Amino acid sequence: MRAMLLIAGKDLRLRVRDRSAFVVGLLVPFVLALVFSLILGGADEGPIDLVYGVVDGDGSDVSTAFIATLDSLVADGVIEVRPVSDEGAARALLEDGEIRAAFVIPAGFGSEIEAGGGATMGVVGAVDSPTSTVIAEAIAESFAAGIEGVRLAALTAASIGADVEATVAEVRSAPPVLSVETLAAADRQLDLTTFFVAGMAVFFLFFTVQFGVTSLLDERREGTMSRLVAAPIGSSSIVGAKALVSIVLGVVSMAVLVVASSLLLGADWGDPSGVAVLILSGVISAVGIMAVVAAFARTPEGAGNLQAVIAVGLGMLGGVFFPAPLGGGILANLSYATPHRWFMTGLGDLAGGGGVAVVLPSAAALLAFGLVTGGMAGLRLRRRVLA
Amino acid sequence: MKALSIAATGIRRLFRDRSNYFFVFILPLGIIVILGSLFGSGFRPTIGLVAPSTGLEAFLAARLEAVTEYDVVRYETLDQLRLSVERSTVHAGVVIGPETGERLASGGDGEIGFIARPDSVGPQLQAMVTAVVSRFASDVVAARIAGGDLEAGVVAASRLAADLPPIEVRVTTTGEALFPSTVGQFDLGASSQLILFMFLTGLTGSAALIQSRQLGVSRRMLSTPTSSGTIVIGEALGRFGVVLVQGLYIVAVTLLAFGVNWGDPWGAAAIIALFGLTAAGAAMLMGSVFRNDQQAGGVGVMLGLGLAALGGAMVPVEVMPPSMQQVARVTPHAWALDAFAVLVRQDGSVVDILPQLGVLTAFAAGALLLAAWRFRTVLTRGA
Repeated sequence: MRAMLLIAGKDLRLRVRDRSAFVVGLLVPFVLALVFSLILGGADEGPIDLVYGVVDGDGSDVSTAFIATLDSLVADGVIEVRPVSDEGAARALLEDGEIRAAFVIPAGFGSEIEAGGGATMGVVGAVDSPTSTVIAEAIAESFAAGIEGVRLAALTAASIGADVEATVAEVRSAPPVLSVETLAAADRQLDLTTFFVAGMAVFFLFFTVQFGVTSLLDERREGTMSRLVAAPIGSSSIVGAKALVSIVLGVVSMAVLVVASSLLLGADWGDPSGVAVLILSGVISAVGIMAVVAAFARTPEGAGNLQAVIAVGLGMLGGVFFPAPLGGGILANLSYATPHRWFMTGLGDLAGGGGVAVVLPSAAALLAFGLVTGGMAGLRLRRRVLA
Repeated sequence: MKALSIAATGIRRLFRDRSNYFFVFILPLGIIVILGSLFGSGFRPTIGLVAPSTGLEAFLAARLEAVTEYDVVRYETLDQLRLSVERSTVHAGVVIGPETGERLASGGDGEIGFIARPDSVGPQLQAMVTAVVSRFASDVVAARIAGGDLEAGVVAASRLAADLPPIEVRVTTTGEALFPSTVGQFDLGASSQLILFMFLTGLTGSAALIQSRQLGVSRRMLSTPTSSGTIVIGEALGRFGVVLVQGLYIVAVTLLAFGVNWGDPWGAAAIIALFGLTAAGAAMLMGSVFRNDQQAGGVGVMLGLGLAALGGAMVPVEVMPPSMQQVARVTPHAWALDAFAVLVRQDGSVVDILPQLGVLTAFAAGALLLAAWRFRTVLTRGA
């Protein structure tokens, strides 16, 4: 035990002198997270103001009914409406960003509908606010669906010989038979700044922990390994010391990043005990995976290169660079084969509220990664130390 | 001539290390494919759906699934669906309760549950779902008027509705699109990743220059009748060669495999050559400033990704806050991407991108001259 701590202490001193671990473990992830949150600073804003223009070129009962529908949405605080004289004026307002989209009711719209024919109304949207345009389209579609529904009811009533006018009046006044109700959803998502800090932290964690486990290969090449083995030190103490160095480097760099990003970037990691559990299990998974590569590599360079490939590959698949939903496809399923994804999922769950309990599934997955790979690495490394 | 063999050795050393095949050739394509499927025109939102498999509820479920603007994934329980929505595995969720059909059949009304996170596609999906639901409700109303079995009545009503003259909503847009639909799925991602990786590969390659000095290769070269100027030119050519190989590879593969439009070939070649020279200069500068190859590697990744992000190779400059748009102008990345945008989106030629090429030339000349001066100093200092 004492020997293990001595070796670990010596290695940690070496790492502090070399400064590479600081660069990779702290400076690089922090600066990159800062840059990412700076360039995306504007993208994290709340809901948009839906200001719509409406061009009533028709002046019929139907167009009046449509404007009344809009007014009820205005009364509910969903949208704002500005009357506009014609489509050209509406386009000018769109270009200036004064409105998000415009409804255009052409002349003759009402009379064509009264006559039972087809009719077309327009929605003009600004190309760069697709959401507002789609919502406008949906408002118009709902209105059109209402008219079509009344027509369908009238047609059905006529086909069975019922009183058409009475049926239409009844359908118009009745509340909708089906409504869409919004159900509450907690937000198990990190804000953009925290996402990038956490993503960069876990991405570079895999590089930081390399410094510990890979130094076994350095000791072998430099000839210090045979001296360690000649001393009365068990092989598991030597391997354990290297793993300990990796764990300490990983935990310290993650802890510093959490504190620094909370203070300087306003990141919100969530419940501290939950974060601590995730960091510890995340570090163990990283050490395990990097150790298994070191255990089967011949040279320190070979190990470092393969470790870099694996760290970058897992990070990319794990989605640490893309703050976007991965959807339900192959990519999303594949991402769960990476510790990165479990770490981010755990932090996301934590953002939805709660403490250690909510991160336990993610922490268990991370530990499983770490223990399986770490176990394999441990067995192999102990034999290699003696070889 | 000697400079060329120094350059060739540099390139050969890079590819002797197998992992560089991954970083130079596989990784950029992997990222282009992922970005294309996430953000390209191939992007489709996904709705999670919990619904009974029989009865009137199944009718409505089938109509929700028939909409082509989104994909539908079925879930067994509301809890599973809610968790997926909260974790953004799906963009929204729709719940059709098992009692809905019965309530409608007995003359009551029903509620369809909708769950979404308050992000950008939630409201759009809710609007689409509402449109489907209200048309379905019209059919239910008509079926009630007709009397008899409600399920049969809904089928009959939907047939009847299909024959009615439609009331259409025609959507047009105005303004210049940031992501025009004529730009292919991989087009935007491809030029951004090209720029990002050329610079990143250049900078991380600077570690090789430091190793050359650590191993004494540079000293031995100097002891032969080779001037320090020749060594500097050779090493710079080597860095340029690596970056150029990667750039041409990305262009060739994305052109052949994904049909990415790179615009006018002479214009694209000019951008790649000038940007490659800038990257080579930056690599030489890094290689002369640092003495520790591990530190240089780390800082190389930081500068490579950081400058790419600032320069608009990760998110378009147009969506950045105004102050950051000013900062972007200081990176060569922004000018190269701007030049590609002119070539691809406006079908421009070399003449149209002369201003951007001019700025890139200045970047390349500045980086190479500064690097040559510093590199020569550290070479002859014997560090």
